[in-house]
Order: sequence, then structure tokens, then C-alpha cells
Amino acid sequence: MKNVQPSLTVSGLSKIYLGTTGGVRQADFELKNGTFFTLLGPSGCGKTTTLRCIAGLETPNTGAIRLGATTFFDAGTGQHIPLNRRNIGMVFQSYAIWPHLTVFENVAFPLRVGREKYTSTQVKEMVEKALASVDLMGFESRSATQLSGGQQQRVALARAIVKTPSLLLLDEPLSNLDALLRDEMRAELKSLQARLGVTTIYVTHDQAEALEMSDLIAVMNKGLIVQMGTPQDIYFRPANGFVASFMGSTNVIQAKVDADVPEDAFGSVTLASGRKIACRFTRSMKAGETIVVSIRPENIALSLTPNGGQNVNQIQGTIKSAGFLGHLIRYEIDIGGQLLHANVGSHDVFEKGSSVSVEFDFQNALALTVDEGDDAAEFGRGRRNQVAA
Amino acid sequence: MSTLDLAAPLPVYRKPLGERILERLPAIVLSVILAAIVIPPVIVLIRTSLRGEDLGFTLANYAMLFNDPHLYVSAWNSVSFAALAMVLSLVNGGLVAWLVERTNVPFKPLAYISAIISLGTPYIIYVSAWLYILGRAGPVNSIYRALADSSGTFFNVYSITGMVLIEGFLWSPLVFLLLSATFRRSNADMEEAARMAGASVFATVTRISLRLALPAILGLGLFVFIRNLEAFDVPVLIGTPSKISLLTTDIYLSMTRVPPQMGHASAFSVVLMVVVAVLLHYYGKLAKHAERFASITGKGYRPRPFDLGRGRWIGAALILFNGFVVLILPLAAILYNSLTPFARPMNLAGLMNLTLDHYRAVFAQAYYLELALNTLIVAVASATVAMTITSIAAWMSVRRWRGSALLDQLTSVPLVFPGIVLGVAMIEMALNFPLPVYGTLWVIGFAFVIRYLPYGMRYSHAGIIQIHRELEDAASISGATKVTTLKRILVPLISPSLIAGWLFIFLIAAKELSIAVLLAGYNAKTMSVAMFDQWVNGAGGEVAAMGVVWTAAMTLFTATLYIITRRRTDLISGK
Repeated sequence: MKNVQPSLTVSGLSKIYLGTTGGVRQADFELKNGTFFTLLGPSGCGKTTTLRCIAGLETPNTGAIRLGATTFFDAGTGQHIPLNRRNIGMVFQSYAIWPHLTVFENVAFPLRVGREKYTSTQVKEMVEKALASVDLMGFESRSATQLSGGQQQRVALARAIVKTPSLLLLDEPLSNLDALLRDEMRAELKSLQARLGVTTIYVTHDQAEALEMSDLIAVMNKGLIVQMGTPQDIYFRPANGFVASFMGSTNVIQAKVDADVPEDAFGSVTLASGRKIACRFTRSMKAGETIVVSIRPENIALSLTPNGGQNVNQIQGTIKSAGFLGHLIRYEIDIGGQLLHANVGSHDVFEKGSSVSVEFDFQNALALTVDEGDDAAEFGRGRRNQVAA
Repeated sequence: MSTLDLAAPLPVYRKPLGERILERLPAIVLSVILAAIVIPPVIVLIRTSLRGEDLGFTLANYAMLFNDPHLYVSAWNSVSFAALAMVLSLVNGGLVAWLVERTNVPFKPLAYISAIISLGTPYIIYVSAWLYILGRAGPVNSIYRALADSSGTFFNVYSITGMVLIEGFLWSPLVFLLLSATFRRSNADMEEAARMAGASVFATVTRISLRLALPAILGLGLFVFIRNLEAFDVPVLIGTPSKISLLTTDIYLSMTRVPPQMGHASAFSVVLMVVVAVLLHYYGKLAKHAERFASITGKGYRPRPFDLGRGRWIGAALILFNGFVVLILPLAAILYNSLTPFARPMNLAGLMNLTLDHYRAVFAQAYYLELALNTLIVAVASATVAMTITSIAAWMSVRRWRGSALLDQLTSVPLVFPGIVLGVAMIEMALNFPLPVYGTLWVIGFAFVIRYLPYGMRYSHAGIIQIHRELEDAASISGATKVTTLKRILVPLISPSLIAGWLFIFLIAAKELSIAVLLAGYNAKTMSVAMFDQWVNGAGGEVAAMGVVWTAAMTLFTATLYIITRRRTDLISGK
């Protein structure tokens, strides 16, 4: 982050498509110059709509979008800059490489059609610089259709940065690559962005991508930003049940609050099985409220007999299944009708069907609210069906 | 971040009025232009049909039409002709399409070559070839006379049966081309699943393949039926001499009578138009249904043809027979007729006595060169105009430009005009036009543009739908205006579809008879009209010579363009 001047301001943005559930209901954020910002959420949460509004591909219903001193859009004053004058670089999900043009012509296109005119030497120089920064030198005269998926991706990136845009928008750019290439591209994309220092908005439904690459993440659900923060914030201090379940393989268990709990305190909750456990509350809650408890699998310890430590929840359970992952074993434990996942170092081996003591710190059981309209039971079923939703 | 006040009023953005109008303007302007092109013929026809001799309002034209028992005879003839010819072309073309696309039959390229060459051949050439082959002096009857009854005729081509046979053969290539696309798209997995479940080849074909293709086949059947109902070439060339009246020839005759019975012809045209419109309505429904069926099978296509086993040679015989009937026999007949001094049986004496006189006659007259030029000008111009308009209309409609809602419907209006009906409407419009356009190429060209707008729209639409939206978005983000995006991204990308559409319109315009025959002036004839006139005058040899030259030229042209398009498609799809 090179200076404190806010680069991009989005306020009160909404874009609803009539007759559909998609779109964004409200989005507000401010990005410092050079931020790598990720919009994360399941499909239909409004992340792509937000991006398309910033790009100018959609006209918002309300709100304002400003980049530095320039107003891209303001519903209040009616200001509106058409998308071809915004100087934005964008990489599309499908790459959108024009098959009738060579690699060089694809990358040179923004220089040829814009308002600013460049001489052919300038064009050549800029295209070569852009291609060099994505490691594609020597491909200039290839037809775009002779490239692999990863190479097309790089061409799209070179085209997006050739004019040194003031904003770089990336719409799920890695979703069409295979797993290995995706990992490689993540690191490369991040270092390229850091090198260019351009404010970047990245849209994805992959929480691992978001965690690895971003300076700042906004988790979206049903057209609203439900939490915004650093990757650590989002991962360790999820704002509610949705964020916790969306951020990856955590156990999400439905529960009821036993008595009123103030903010940042420990309190007791009752699980569906009737078992009471102690949890950490990040905000105050009333007795009787339905909540979810998030317990990360790596925070669960298993043993044959209870250890009886301080500030530790202890539940008796039965091993249902075990999966050997090499460095650890992933157990599925039945704790009275509720399944719990635990990742335990592979030196501790428990037989299937054996009775174990399940233990986790009060500190590591996080009590989280369930937002209106969210279904707590859905969280338990994991991320997969949310992403596909 | 956590409290969101959705109740607070926020200014809802509406673009300023000027900008909103500007945004809708291009699509609205195009809609108005299209409406001005396609609506007037309908209005003119209805108005003339309701006007008596004193120019007052009257229903007399309709009363006369419906009180004349002749109408019902013609209607019955038209319907049975259209239905039987449809069945014949569907069975013939469909069988060949299935064999070529879904089995391991040999000689597959022959089927394609036959279909493509026949697209460029004027119908009148085909019809005259068949009239010769099946006629009294032709090979079929002379073989019959040599073998059996030395004085009788085996087959009288001047009958409904003859018309059905010829019309059926005429449509087989197009049915083949359209159905082969359907069969190619069909998913082999479904057939294999049936085979795995224990079904025989026959059961698989009848219960799975045919069942899946049924909506497409029914849709195509209705389409061919409508086109047969509108057909003009076969009815006028065979029906009229043999006193078999059909609806289209009745309209033609009442227009060519002296004085022309405009009111009667218009009323007749309106009735035919209504019938076609009703049929098209059902066709639209069927076609939609067919698309739903096809969308199940869009993905995962692998060409796994059925092994016909020994049946392979029966299939081969069928392909050969089809190629023989659709291509070789008619072309041989027309070639023979162009080389014999007068029409006579195909025998040794005839073959010993060939001459190039007819070709000399054709090439000696500057008139024919002028005709060829006329035809080329009209066909090129109408194909270009129709493709230009429809590619922009399709772009706006596919990308849902503001104000583009009516574009699709407007471009499909001309589907309701049978060629002869459009001809009648255009005559009336030309006569009332302030400038002396009647009998010029302009009117023919204009009529062609109207008639072929729906075809152009189909090609453009199909081309643009394949282009991922993001390819255009990327251009806009790069700083390109709409016009630049159209010129530098969209048009190059859809050029294969545009060229294919252009070529299709060019070819059918170059051989179109029903419109041109009514609109042609003495100095503004097209090739097919001239051939028709010569044929009526009895100069069959010259018609044949013209036909051979013309078909050769068209085939060469088609092949060249086809190769260019193919190369371009390969370039774009990266082969």
C-alpha cells in the first residue's frame, strides 16, 4: 500500500435484476491505492454484478463509484462515464481472446482503439513490455487459438495491463484452468499485481484463492457484503455462521444459547443432542437464540480416556470412519446424532467403532449468529452445495 | 459494515432523457426501416382485395373467389400435391441423411456433392430435365416401349403424380442438408444406452433415434409442406400445360390475363397468405419443441455410426440411386438436350448427331450476357443488402439492445408471402410509386430483399449467438466504441455465417422464378425468367444450353466461396 489516499470508493451500490434473485442489494467499500481486494461468495451472491458495475458493463440502480478524483458513476448527480473511457483493465472468466487476431494484435487492441493515439513504435514497445511481464515473449505472431488455456490467460492479462490501467478487474480468471496451473498462476498473478501496484478487484468463489492472494476480502451473500476484513480476520474471526461455513472445512453445529451472554465472553450453549458446551461469543446474544458453533477440525483432540484439562469441552463420541491423508488422519466422529470432523496427527490411530473422548478448548468453539434468511442446517452440509447454489 | 439500512431512500439512477433516447435510437431507426420494408406489401394486398372497380370498398372479390367452385378444385390439388411431395422428399432425403450421418454406409461424399450442386441449379432446369426423362420421348417411356407395349406410355408425367415426383426430387437435397444437421447433433450415447439395454438396431432406430428426431422431422415436414404449397415452378411448368390448376398458378393466371384482375389476385393472395401464416404459427411451435429436444443432446457428441453389416450395400445402393436421381440423371438429360439439335430419344442415333449449335446460339447473343449480368447484379445486391440489415438487426436483438424488441418479428413477416403473392403486391406498389420503377431491376431486387430477410436473419442470428458476449465486452473495456467493436471484432468473427448466408440468398435469388416472372420488364429479365420464356416458346435446346452454362458457373462460384469460408472458419476455430 503505497499511499493512504483512497483509490476506489463504492458507496450504496445496488443493481437488482427484475424478476430474479441475483444482483447486488447494497455494497459499500473503500480501497487504498494498490490493494488486492477480493469479492468472495457463492454464485448468485452479487459479486460479479458488483464487478460489472465498476467496469461499466452494467448501470447500477443506486449508489456511486469513484476512482480517485474521477466519478465513474453517481446516481445522485447523474454522472456517468461510459465503459470505454474508464481506462480499466479486465480479465474475463472466458479470457475473451479474439480468435481472429494474433497475440500481438490482441494485446495491442486497447492501444489502437482508445482515444489516445500511439505511434507504431510506441505500440510495439508497450505490447512487448506487457507480454514480457506475463512471460509470453516470442508468442507475438501466434494465432490466439493456438495457445493453451494458461497461455490465453496470460494474453488476457497482458491485454488488461498494456495501457497501465488505473484499476484491474479479474472475474474468476483461474476457474477454467486445471488445478496445478491454477496454483502456479495464483502466485504469479499476485506478484505481478504487487509489481504493478495497481488496485485490483478479484472475484472468486474459491476461498483458498481469496485467502492466499488478497490484502482485503469482502464475503458476499445474497447481494450483501456480510464481512469485510483481512484474510486472517475472515478465517479466524468469521462474522456469522455463513462466513464460517463458507470459508472452508469447519464443523458447523446448530445450538441454542442457554443464557444472555455479553460481547467477547464465554457462555454455555445446548447442542441438538442435549449436550451443553462452552463457547466464545464475539458479540452479545440473548438466551434461547438459535446459533451455530464453529469448531475447526484441527482444533479437536482425540484420546481414549478424558484428559480433563481446564477450559476444555469434553464430549464422548464414536469413530464412524477414518481417512488416511499422510501427515494426518481425518476422523468422522458421532457425538450423539451429530457428525464431527477431526484432523489428528497420523501417529494417533483409533479403530473404527471405538469410543473416544473428543476435546476442544472453549476458546476454539466459536458461537456465531445465523442471519435472517440463512438456513443453519445448510451450513452443516458444507461449502459444496453453497457454491453450487 | 454489519448494519445495513436498506430502508433509507437512495437516489435511484435513471439516465438523462437525452441519453435514454440516444440509446434506443439505433434499434428504433432500424425497426422503422424494417417496418417500412416488410409491412407495405401486406397493406397493399389487403387494400386492393377490398376495392371494387369504382375504387369503393367491396367484398365482391372475396365473394367471387369463394363462390367459384374452381377454387376448391385448385385448393384440393395444391394440398394433395404439397402433402405427397413433402412425404416423398422427407422419406428420400431423410433416409439418405440418416445413412450418411449415422451409419457406416460408403459413398457419403456423393450425397453432399449432389445436394450442393442441386442448390445452384435453377428449378426450371431440373423440371425440364425431368420432363424429358419421364416424358413421351424420354428414356423411361422408350425403354418401356422397347420392352413391353410398343405404342403405349408407361408413365404420363403431365399429371399430379408427375408433379409430385418432380417436386419431391427437387426438395430431397434440402431435406437432406437440414436433417443431416439434426442427425449429426443427436447424441450417440442415447442410442448406445438402448443397445446396451438389449434393443436391436431396428428397435433402437425406431424407438430411440426416430423418436428423438421426431419433433425436428415434423417441423421440417410442415416447413416443406408450406414451401410446396407456395411452389410455382413445377405447377406452372407441368400443371398449367396439363390443365391441372393450383392456387399459385391461379394467381399467376389472373395477373397475366388481359386486363389483369388485380382485385381477384389480391383477394386470392390474402387467402393464401392467411393459410401460410396459420401454418407458420404451428411450425414455430413445432420448431421450438424441436430445439428443446435437441438441447438435451447438445453436449458429449461423438460420431459413432451404426454398423449396418451386410445392409451396408443396400444403403450404398440407396445413396447411389439418390445421387443418380438428384444429380446425374437430370444433368445428363439436360446436357444431352443441350447438344441435340431437337428433342429426341436418347439413343445411338441421337448420340451420333450431337452439335454445339445451342451453345453457339446462347453465346452469340449479347442478350444472354446481359441477362446473366442482370441476374448477378440483382442477386449480389439483394444478398448484400439483406445480410447487412439482418446482421445488424440480429446483433441488436441477440444483445438485447434497448428498443430492439420488434426486430425479430419484423424480419420474419416476409415468411408469410408466397413468392407469387409478393410478386402481386410488388406490382401494385410499383404501379403506385411516383417514380417509373415498374418493370425495372430495382423492383425485383427490392422484392428479393423482402423475401430473403428471414433467411438472412437466421444465418446472422445463428452466427452471433455463438460469439461469447465477453468477446465484445472485452473490446468495450479496451476502449472501443460500439461501431469499432462491430467492425473489428464482431464482423470478422461471424464472417463465416455471414458469407454462408450471403451465398444461400445469392443462390436462391439467382434462380428465383415466381417473383421475378411477374416483375420482369422486357429489359429487366433475370436468367430464370428468360429460361421460362424460352421454354414456353418451345426453345428447349437453348434453355438446356443456358442451364448447363449457368449451373456450371454457379457450382464453381459456390465451391470457391465454400472453400474460402471453410479456411476462414478453420482459422477462427484454430484448426
